[in-house]
Amino acid sequence: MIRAPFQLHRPHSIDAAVRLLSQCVQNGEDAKLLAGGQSLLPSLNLGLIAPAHIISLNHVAGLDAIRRDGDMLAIGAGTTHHALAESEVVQAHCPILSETAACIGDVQVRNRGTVGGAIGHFDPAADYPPVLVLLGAACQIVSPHGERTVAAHDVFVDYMTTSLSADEVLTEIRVPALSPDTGTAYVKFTRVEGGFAIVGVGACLRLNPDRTCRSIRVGICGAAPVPVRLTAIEDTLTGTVVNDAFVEAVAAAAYESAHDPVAELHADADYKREMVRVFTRRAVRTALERAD
Amino acid sequence: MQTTIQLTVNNTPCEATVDTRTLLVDFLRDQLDLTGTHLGCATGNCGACTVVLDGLTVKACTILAADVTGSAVTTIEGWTQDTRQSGDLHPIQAAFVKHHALQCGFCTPGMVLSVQQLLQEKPHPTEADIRHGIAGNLCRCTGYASIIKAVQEIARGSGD
Repeated sequence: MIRAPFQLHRPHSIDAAVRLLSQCVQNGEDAKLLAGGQSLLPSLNLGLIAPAHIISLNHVAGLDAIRRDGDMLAIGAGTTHHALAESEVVQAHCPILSETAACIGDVQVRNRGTVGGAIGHFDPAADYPPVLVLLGAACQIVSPHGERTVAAHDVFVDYMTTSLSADEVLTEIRVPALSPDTGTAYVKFTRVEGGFAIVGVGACLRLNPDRTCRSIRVGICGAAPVPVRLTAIEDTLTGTVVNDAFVEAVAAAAYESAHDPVAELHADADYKREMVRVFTRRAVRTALERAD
Repeated sequence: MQTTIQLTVNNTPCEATVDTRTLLVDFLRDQLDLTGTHLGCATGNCGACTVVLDGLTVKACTILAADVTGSAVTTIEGWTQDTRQSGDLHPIQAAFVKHHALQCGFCTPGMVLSVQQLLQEKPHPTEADIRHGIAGNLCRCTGYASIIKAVQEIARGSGD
């Protein structure tokens, strides 16, 4: 039993959820949205947080839908990691997202945890943020003032802090359907299976017919409190020959970008920086193997 | 704050009044006396509280009972109902016994449910699949090698 009392709300629509949340904010009462609860419930059990209200999104129909929308995939915020990993449409059109979802936590956590919850909670070691940033994903956000679309890059603003206001609800994530010739990979470094990423690196690579780089995108977690994208080196390397030097150039840029790693028990800042280099190399090599 | 919930637990519909702060694991243990579901860490790490919720394994310490009203839950008691009635062990239980895949037994109910989920999805798992499948269940006696042997035997014995 959780010690601190709270009021539990179970709205059946996003509108009702937004209304409830807005009322709490207006009354100056602390409210938390509950999705899969894989971070929220442990926090409540440990007494780390004690919100006056918990608004469950688990009774809102359709929040877990995945659909193709033109050249985008629209993923409901309530989609579980398991559903995302197993989705045929995601596997076919954005395999890096399936690969990322499949390596989060463990089986039980993936069965319950959601993509929207992971974004809202924004642990700096979370796997989705660097991948969403490199994909140029967009988040659909609803509040009493209406709806807005925010680029993933602008959602993750600081350590465990997103740009969502207290009265906003994340409803959908939109990612581009990737061209089938895109090689993608997400690799992560954990101390044990199921652990949080010490470092996680996502890479998307497309080749020209002459095997030069048509485009490359790299996103990293663990290099800083927010996801890092290697925009400068991505631009520099476009059109160049993809060889060992290419891979080393990306890895070196990743190392340089890791200006502010969050030091932790198992990895100090210098070690993390070095691991950013190692895992970027692996991500780019794997993406290259998968590109054709 | 009290609320009424309806759940199907081990194929039996049940209605109960719970405090909204009640975790699913506490509801099962304290209100339904289904103490086969263990509470280890209450932080979603150890997996001792693993149950099957609407066909998928979850950790019952990370779920509010009131939030899963309308769902179907299977605990270790429900899962072994049929074999217990006939006095037999389920093949997973038998393999665990044969290979000494339990020492203190605290993790076993959750471990067994994770293994059944794994075998349901992959009847012939590789060793890597098995390790991946039980990653959410900690055995503090560190009997993992025996557990993996037990699962490998079940996989070998399940035809083709």
